Amino acid sequence: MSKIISVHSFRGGTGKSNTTANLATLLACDGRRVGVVDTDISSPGIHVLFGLEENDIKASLNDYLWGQCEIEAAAQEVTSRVGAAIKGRIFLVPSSMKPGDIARVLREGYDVGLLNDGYERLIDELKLDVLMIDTHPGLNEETLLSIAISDALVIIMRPDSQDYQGTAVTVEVARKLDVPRTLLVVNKVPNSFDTAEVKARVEKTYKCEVAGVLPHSDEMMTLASAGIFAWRYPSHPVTAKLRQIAAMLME
Amino acid sequence: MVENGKGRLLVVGGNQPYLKSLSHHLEEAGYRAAQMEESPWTPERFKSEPPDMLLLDLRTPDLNPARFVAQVRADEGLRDTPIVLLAAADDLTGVEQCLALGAEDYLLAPFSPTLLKSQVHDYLEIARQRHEARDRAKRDELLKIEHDLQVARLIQAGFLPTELPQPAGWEIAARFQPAREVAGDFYDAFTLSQNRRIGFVIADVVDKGVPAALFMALVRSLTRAFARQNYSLSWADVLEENRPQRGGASHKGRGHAVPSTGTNALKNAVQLTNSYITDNHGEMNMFATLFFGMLDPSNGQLAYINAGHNPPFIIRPDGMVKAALKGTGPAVGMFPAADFRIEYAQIDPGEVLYAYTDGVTEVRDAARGFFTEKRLLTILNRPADSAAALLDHIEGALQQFMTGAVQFDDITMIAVRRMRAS
Repeated sequence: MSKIISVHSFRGGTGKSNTTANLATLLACDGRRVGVVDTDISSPGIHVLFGLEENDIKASLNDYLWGQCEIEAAAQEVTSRVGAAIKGRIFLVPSSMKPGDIARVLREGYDVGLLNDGYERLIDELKLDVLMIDTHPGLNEETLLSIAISDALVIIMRPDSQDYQGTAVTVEVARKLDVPRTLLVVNKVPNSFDTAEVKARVEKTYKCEVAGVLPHSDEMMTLASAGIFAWRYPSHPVTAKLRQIAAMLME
Repeated sequence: MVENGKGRLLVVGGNQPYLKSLSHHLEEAGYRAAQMEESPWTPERFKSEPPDMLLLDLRTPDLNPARFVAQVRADEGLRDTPIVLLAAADDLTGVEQCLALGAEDYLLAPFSPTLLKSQVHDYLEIARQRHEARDRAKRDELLKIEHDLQVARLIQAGFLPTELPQPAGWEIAARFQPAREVAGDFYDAFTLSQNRRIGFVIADVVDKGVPAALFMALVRSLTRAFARQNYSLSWADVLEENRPQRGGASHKGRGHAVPSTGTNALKNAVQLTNSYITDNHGEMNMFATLFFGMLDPSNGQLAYINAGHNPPFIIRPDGMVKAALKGTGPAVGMFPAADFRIEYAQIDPGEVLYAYTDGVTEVRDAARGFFTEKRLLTILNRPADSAAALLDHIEGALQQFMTGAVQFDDITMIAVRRMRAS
């Protein structure tokens, strides 16, 4: 049985795409076939983590939404770009980086129902074990749809007042949409913080399971999205925590 | 009416010898002159057979000339009838009063028969011209209405699609036969979601003629425009108490009542049209039954909303009815907060969906008997090799049935047929 996992954060800059790419990689390392869809159409970016340049993107989610191809034709295998010895497979459906394409989405919108059918088709055509959806920050119709059809939702937040309030909104929406499993991840936590205390406080605030508290990491910052952290630093404590989150998602 | 230049005159006044003498002179000149010699002095008495001209004697005892003139002028049928006053030489006040109220002219005693005849001749001519002008205006008005209706008919024809989409492996045909110049029915078909879906509509405004045609234009335009609005307002409900239900339109156990391709368009088209009409035109008390189908031509899956319309049929290749797609909500424009449910059906190869307005089953024969759904089903049960052929069969049967009778209601049909795999 394949799983759909949405990764969301109410505000931008939380490390949402980075976490999505790392979790996808760790799930593939265990031999799974993992699909990743970048639904952040107005500000795409996850393709960078998988080593794709703008010119490498031959077809995008936009082309599918505009009826120019089926969704699997917009999926690109990125496994070898992440690392040679990965047991499973990683497929990415990127969003277009062309300014004209982004403008067209904003101007015309699209039938969001296409996303639902596209996810189904992608899972069937690529025989995916896991489909990960990198969502647009905040709430819009695409995000609500993605959350509604997900088996699990990962909400990323930083220990920041703006994130605290926004996260409450997403948790509430997930509850109303009866998402089977919602996990919180607190990211970029200053090293001076007591992670156990942060975990307890966040869980108490949202009455929602915290899958991990990830400390700020200089190595992650230095990597600056030029690769997948968990693959480059397999024994880093942050990687260990990410692995733990990945395992929880598969429970 | 004035005949051969000589008209019918009515002399209103007492039993005075000089009036008799005037009448005599007029009859000698070829006019017909009747006399009204006693009270009640009211135009009611000659209204049913109006004279061509009135001669009113101001010296008549018990007669209030001003009131009489006013009454004549207030009457729709008499207001153009010329009135000439017969007055005493010193009664200029009475004459002025009556002229102000609409009398045409006057003669002062003693009355000259020559002057009288001259006035009668002139005013009868004026009356004749007035009548002609009025008839011409009436005729022009009718011509204008007829012309307007023809223009309306053309404009309405422009509200129907000039071409129906014909996706590979499918055939779509339609018929439209208004009972009058303009109709309250319409059909429509167009592609949506970048050609991945075909939306088709059949609707019947519950009224006839021009009001129904105007309403039809509104409903058709709104459904088409709202079907192209990608974003669905219903998602906002998630954040309120009436959240969407899990379950429902489930694909392989996953997915919930969340949009799939084309369902937002379907929901928006019907729900938003209903809201618009009830919000803005609620006082018109008009509504339309409407069936909106959203077809996936790649697999024959049909999502639909049936807003109070008579159920379309899905007919199997052997002519048996596989399904009747019953109502999933009330007629559009009826209830402000109506809910329109999306249902699903499947059209397999060789099957045809047939949708119609009740003008079909309610066609009457010369004995005023209805065509009935039973007769319709008999024709549908005869397999046809194309959508157009099926509609031709039905149209032929309807024409035959109504021979010698008048068509009462608009007849509209649409057939969507999935070809057999070759």
